[in-house]
Formats: sequence, structure tokens, C-alpha cells
Amino acid sequence: MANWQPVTRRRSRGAAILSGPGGEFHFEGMSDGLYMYEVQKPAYTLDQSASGMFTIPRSSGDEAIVVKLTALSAIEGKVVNQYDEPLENVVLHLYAVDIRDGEKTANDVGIHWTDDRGMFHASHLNPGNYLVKVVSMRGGTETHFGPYAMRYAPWEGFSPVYFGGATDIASAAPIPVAAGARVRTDFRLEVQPAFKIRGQVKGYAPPNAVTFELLRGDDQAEPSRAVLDVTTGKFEVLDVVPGSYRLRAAQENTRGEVTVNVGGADVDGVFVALQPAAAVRVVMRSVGGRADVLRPNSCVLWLRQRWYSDTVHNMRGEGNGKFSVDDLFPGQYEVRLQCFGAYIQSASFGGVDLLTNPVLTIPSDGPSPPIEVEYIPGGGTLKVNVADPLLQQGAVLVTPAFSASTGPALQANSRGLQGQNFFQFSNLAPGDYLVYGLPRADDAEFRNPAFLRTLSGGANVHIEDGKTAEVTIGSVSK
Amino acid sequence: MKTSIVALVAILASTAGAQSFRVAGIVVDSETAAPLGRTRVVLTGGPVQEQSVITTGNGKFSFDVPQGKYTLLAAHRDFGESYGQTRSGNSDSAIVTGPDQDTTGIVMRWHAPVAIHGKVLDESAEPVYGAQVELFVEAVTGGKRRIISLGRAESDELGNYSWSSIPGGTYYLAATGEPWYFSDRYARDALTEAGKSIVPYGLTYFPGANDPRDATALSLHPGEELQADFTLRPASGSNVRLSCTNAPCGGSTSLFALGLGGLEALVGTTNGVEPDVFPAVPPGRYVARYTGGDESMRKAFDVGGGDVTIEIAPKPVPTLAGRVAFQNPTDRLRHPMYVNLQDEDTGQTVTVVLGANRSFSFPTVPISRVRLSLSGVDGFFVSKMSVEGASVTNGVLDIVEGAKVQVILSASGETGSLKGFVMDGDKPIPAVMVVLASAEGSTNPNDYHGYQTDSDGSFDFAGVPAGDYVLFAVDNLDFEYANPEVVRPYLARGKRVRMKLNGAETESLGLSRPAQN
Repeated sequence: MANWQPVTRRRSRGAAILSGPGGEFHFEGMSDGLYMYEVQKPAYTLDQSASGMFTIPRSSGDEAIVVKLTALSAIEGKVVNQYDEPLENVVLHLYAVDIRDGEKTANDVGIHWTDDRGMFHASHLNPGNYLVKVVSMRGGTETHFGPYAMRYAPWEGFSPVYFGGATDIASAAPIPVAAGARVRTDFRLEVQPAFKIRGQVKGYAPPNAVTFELLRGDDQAEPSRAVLDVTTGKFEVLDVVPGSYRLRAAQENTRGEVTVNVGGADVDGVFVALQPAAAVRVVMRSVGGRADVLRPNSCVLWLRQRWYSDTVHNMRGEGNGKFSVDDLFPGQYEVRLQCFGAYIQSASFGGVDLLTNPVLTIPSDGPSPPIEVEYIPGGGTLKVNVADPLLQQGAVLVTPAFSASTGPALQANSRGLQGQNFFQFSNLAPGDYLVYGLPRADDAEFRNPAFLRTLSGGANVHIEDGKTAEVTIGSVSK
Repeated sequence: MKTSIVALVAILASTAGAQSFRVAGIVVDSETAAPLGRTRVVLTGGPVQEQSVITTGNGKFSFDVPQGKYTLLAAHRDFGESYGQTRSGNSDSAIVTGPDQDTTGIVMRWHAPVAIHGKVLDESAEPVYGAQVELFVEAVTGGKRRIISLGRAESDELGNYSWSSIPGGTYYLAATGEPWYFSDRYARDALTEAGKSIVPYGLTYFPGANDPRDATALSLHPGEELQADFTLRPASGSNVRLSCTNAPCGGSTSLFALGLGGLEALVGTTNGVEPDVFPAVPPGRYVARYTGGDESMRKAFDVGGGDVTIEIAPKPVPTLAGRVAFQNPTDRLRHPMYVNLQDEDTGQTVTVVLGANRSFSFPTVPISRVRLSLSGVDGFFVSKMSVEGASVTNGVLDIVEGAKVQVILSASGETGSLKGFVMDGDKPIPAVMVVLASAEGSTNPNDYHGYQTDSDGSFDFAGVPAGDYVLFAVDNLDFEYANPEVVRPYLARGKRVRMKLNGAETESLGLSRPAQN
């Protein structure tokens, strides 16, 4: 325990000391009063006991303050090819996966790359579940003022892959990482001859770099290695193994995408035009509602790319109930809506009913229709009583009754009970609901229709505007 | 004579469309001379589409291509270089094919990258987390020998750091860091007050020197891997205090030691909130740089015996803007023109594109010495410069605190070209350095030009400002052709040439030696 040296301090007077070799610490000469303390040590996380308060003088029954630190974890490994040669400059992306807002979410926790021994090392990780993905070669876009340097020619490449062998985020198996563990994730990549995609990009602003990415499915990509002659817009994307891709070129607020199929040879003459990002208008309307409903009430809307927590686009107010969501490029976004003091009557985008299918598709040609939301102040209240003590550490899920064909609706809600024996949901749209008791609050994937279909034994309840319904859940739902 | 025959054959070849020439050889490891398999060899830049092959175990490659001038590349592992390169970053030699050329016995030497691994420990042999290990390389680039920083690697929680995929060459390493609890300002102050004399680690040049003059040059040959461990010890010296009496000072202040080759090596950074102090700074020459909001400051000072107080009195961040005027009013731009701002000391360049009204702007410029140049397909150069707001010495602008520099660059297209061959009797000499040096002994390095000869011994200076020059060739690819001091001894025996406007001169020459006094 020689390196057990947390800094301990009391804030009110500003004292800090290093703990001794046995982890012990003493503050002396303290005047009477209430103190706060906090402990730090690199590569350790603060346990709940690592900060707190105490009073001086200490009562006779008081014990010494004992602080528990949890060691942070590490993921490390070696990347080799099929000949067991180490691969250098391989970029790895780490994601922490958990369920947020009812959906499996990948949170970016860092990018690493291998050294000449093929080794990488990611540290200071909280215990949890992780994905490790080998993505690309390190380097990004090299920008040149002329064609003379369009020439680097690596001969081998590989396809992105997750640890465990999956090739897309939906089928990748999370790696459990315990507190203080050093988890080894070695990769043996099948390298194969790589080719170039050559072409020309239009609509960029020289002399700044353009980023090139090869996209496969819904996965986020890392910038590929590429060279760009900014005087002409001619580019080469390197390290491309045979396959079908969307090639994306991006610069600040512009982006272009094109589909490219690579067989056993270089691909020439690929043309990518960069277009500015678009804004989508949002019209929020309050329609009717009872006179006795408290005002003001409002709704918020945000969009994000499925899986990735760092892709959220929030709406921006323009006054008069008009809003917009900015910086959107063609593609699919998940829609999230939440109302305060009101419930949603309808939400649509062009002809799409966002309540049954909360996915927005921004067209690549032409302007987008607005998102139109109608909400009604008020709604009904549901009080859920919990009889099973197991559920007091769990959660209650309230979901509109749905058929398998329509999928789940947006207003699904789940809240941790935190030791209470009842929970109240307000501003629910009138209608029929199913109420489930769940053993844990943090792993209910309630936005996933497949998860909802696994539930059984829910209690039926009917909600009316302005009234409170009550239901009792006797046991954990299966 | 030779040129006209070549031109004639080129016409014949293109009309016949069938005549091809063989480019063939072997890729070998530069150190062991062993043939290299699994290497992609590429022939590019000529009149036909790029071609590539992957070598088998015997390292051999072969292409059949039309007459032309090509770049030959070899990429092995994740490291590529072109024919005639001795290091990545320096120049190469083109492969010239034609009826008079034998390009069938090419030996392509691939230089394996080097790597540096190490562990950073403190005085009690505990790993130092977050230590900054800066790597410097000494090399000739653009005809000048410089030591430049390649950046900083950070040690992990086990104290390990690494540098890899770097070419062989001459390197220096410097490490610095601080105890982990220093990152918390509150804890740092409290611990310092407790009288435990807690000081940051001293800036340490590998293997253990605090003075940059004692730094060891690390000569790494291709394929070598160096283990370079550091032990960082608490620094000792003076306190450098920061004082801020007349400004908000909401930014951050960094302290640099003037180190290798005059480079500023980072000692530490504070958040610039007074009162702040860099404790235990050893004697030497230092630079404090403050940046915050739209303001900056640079102050050079010496640390000797006692404590030093630096008054932070920032001024607005320097700006540089201007326009380009064509020396010949009938000149027009057909392609984008770029304005380059190069730091004279570090060689770092920032480029902006010339606007539609021929104006340009660098909205934030470091307090530094800079040189301006033009680039673009059209081939204009700066023939005259008028500067307001900065003093100019030998074409170098001295950007001081708060400077608002206005520049008018005269752009001239009055260039000529010069081609030729370096010969030893009848035999062409490839991969030697041809120098076209200012005949007036200019002190501006931009008045000196270098060309590494191609496989047929040819050189080709295009777009060189008209004027008088001296031409000579040396068998040294690291020759500092842009250093007037190094060039001077060669001028007497060189060939005087006048580069005429739009002229296309041809010269043939042998290798030169410096004049003996």
C-alpha cells in the first residue's frame, strides 16, 4: 500500500495532506465546527464514502473516518494480423454501453491507437460494460497544396470489427469490466490488399482540411486516412478493403455522401459535392385543454442518432411557438418529445406519424417539411402502489397499450422508485395503459419494442383527463 | 541536344501508342539489405494511371510504362517512402524512362521506422502519471538545419509513454511533469503552505540533464527501438511570480525554457489567476507567454539567484492583414492563391486563401518572427513587400505584442526555368543535390533553391524569380542550401547563370567541392 496517498482536505479552512503509507491521515489543531472533506487519488474513483461531513468536537462514540476508493479499470491489448505480426497505428474506439432513457446507448470514452508493438492501453475507466472497436488507420486527411504528395500507398487494410467479432454495434457483445480490473482485448485482424478511392470534392472552403469517412450501416465511423490537394479538390482515400460503403466528406458545416463499391482494384472518378447543413422547423401548438389546468406548459423536442449519446440536436426557440433544429444532414434521426404540464395529441413530419414511428428522415434532395406537434395542457394522473418489497428498489413502467404492429408509443415512462411504495405519473394522455413492475430501474430498455414484447403480467388501467387512476402492482412483471 | 531527341521520341511513342519501357528492381531493407516481401510498390505521376504490385519474398517488382517521369514508392508495414528518400519528409528522385535509360536494376532501400518507449518515474520510483515527454528531431528540411518539436507524448498511469512510426534520425527527448495533486490548485496551495516544500519536477533532457546544452543527441538507425526511461526529481531554483495589476488576466500563462536550438520547451502552465507562482525554476533563460480572451503577451527573462516577478500586462492579440498587388497590372489569377505565414524559428506554417478582392487576413498571430510567401498553381512570388506595424529584417517580420500589421505584397510572375543534367563524364549522377544560389549573397533563404537529381541525373528548376544565380551540385542530400553561410564557399567554383524572364535555360555540370582558402 505504499502508493496509497490520497489527498484529504477540509474545505472550510483549506487544509490538505497526503496520507501516510498505511493510508492514515490526521488533521490537527482544528477549531470547533462543521467540516467537509474530500479524497482524491489518480486512477481511483470517489466512492460515496470519499466525501462527506463531520463535526468538531467529535463525540465519544465517533469512529475514525474510513474512506473507500474504487480502483478505476483499464482495457488493453495487442493488435496483430493473421501472420501474428503487430500492427501499428491502428485506431481503436472505446464506448461505454448502458441503457439511457430506455434505450441502449454507446458513450464515447476515448480513442486510442497502437504503437509499433501493436499495443494499446486505455485507463481510468469506470466499472461497466464496454465495446472496443478497431476502426481505421491513424492519420486522417493530409492536406497538400498541389498533386505532388498524393502518393502514400499502404498495401494492406482491414474491416472495422468489435472485440468478439461483431461488425456492427447492434450485434456487438459488451465486455464487462469490473472495478480495478485490467481487461485484455487482443485482436487478430485479417489484413488483405487495400485499394484507393480517388475522386474530386466540390464545395469545400480551402485551405482547411476535409474529413473523409467510410460508413457501413448505422455505425459511426472514424476519419479514414486520405490525402487532399486543396488547389483542385482531388482526393484519395487510402486503406480501403473490398466492400460497399457510403463515402462521406465533411468540412465544418458542410457534408456530402456518395455510395462506392470497391472490388479488387482502385476506384476512380468519385465525385462528392459538399452541401450545407439544413435546419428543420418545429411548430408547437397548444390545442384546447381544460380551463383549470395550470399554465404555462410546454414541450421540448430533440433529435439524435440511434446508439450514440453525443449526437444530440436540441431545438432552438425563435419565438411565437416556432422553433428549429439546426445542423441536420440527410439521414435518419430518432425523435424524442417531452411535455411539461401537457400531453401530446399528435406529432408529425410530412406524412409520418412520429408517435408510432419516432424516426425522422431528412431527405437528401429538397427542403424538409416542418415537424408539427400538437399538445393538450392537462391530462390524467396515475398513482401506482407497489406491494412487492422487491419493487421498492425497482421501477414502474407505464406504456400505452399497443399492438405488435404499431410498436411502442413515445410516452412510455419509467421511473426509479428509490424506496417509496408508490409512484405517481402525471400529464398522461387519456387512454388505455399497461403498467409493469420492473426489478431494476437502470436496465429497462423500454424504447425497444422487442423488450416490451417480452413483458407479461402488466396491469391494465384507463386514464381520463383531469382524473387520478390508481393501480396496485403486486409482483415483478415477467 | 539530348532534350530534343527525348522530345522527338516522346512524340513517336505517343503516336505509336505501343512503345513501353521497363521499370524493374528489388526492394530491400536499408540496413540488412534483405529483400522485402509483402511490400506495395507503386509507380505514379507519369502519363498513365498509377500502377502497383505487391512483392513476394524475393522483393522484386517490374512495370512496363510509356516514356515519362515517375515517382516510385514502396510501402511496408505502415511506413512508405519514395525512391531516393533518405528520410520521410525530405526530397526524392524521380524515375525517368526512355530509350537512353536503363531503369531495370533499381534498388529501392526501405528504411524501417524507429520507436522510443520509456517509463517516467519520480524520485521514489513511483510512476509519474501525465508526464509530458517532448520529442525533438534535428533535420535538414527546405535547405535549413533545424531542431523542431514533434509534439508531446503523455505518460499513462503506469508511467509509460511511447513514440512510434517515426523515421530514423537524430532526436532529443525532454520530460516534465508535476505531482498528480498539483492539478488541483487548491490541494497544491494547501500542501505547499504546509511547509513540505512541494515543487514540480524539473524539465529533464534525456538522459538526466536539466541544461539543454547537456541534452544527448539520440542517433536512431532504421529499425532501432530505444528504451528511454526518465527519473524526474523535484526542481530547485527561484520562484517566478506572476503579477497582474492592470488587467483582468483571466487567461493562462505558460513558462518555457529556451532549450534546444532556441526552441521554447514547456516548463508548466498556470491558469493565470493571480497570485500565481512557478516554484523552483532553475537558472537559465525563460519565456513567459500569456493568452486569454483576445489578449496575449510574451516576455523573455533570465532566472539567476533570486525570485523573479513577471508583470502580466497583455495587449490585444497581434493581427496581420493585407492585400496582394500584381507587379504587372495585366496579370490575372487563374487558380486560387495562398498566403503562407511561416514561423522563422519553428518552421511552422499557417496558410490562408487569398480573398476575391485580393485581400487576406491572419486574425491571430503569435508573438513571433515570421516570413510571408505566396503559393498556388499560377506560380507568383513576393517580389516586394511593404509593411506597417512591424519591423522587417531580411524579409522577416518581427511581430510584437499588440501589433496590428498591414502588408502589401507585390506579386510577380516574372520567373524563368532552368533544366539540365549532373554528369560524371558520360554517366548521369542521380540523387545528388543541385543548388541554385543567389549570386548577390542574399541573406533571405527563399533566394536559394535545391533540387535532388532524378534517375537520369536531371534537374529542373521551374518558376524561379528572374535574376542572377550561381549553380552547383554536391553529393550531400542533407546539404543546407538555404543557409547562406554554408553555401558561400561553393560560390566561387559554381556556374554563373542568368535566369531570364520566361527563359528556359539548359546547363550541364559536374559535382562541386567548396573553394579552399
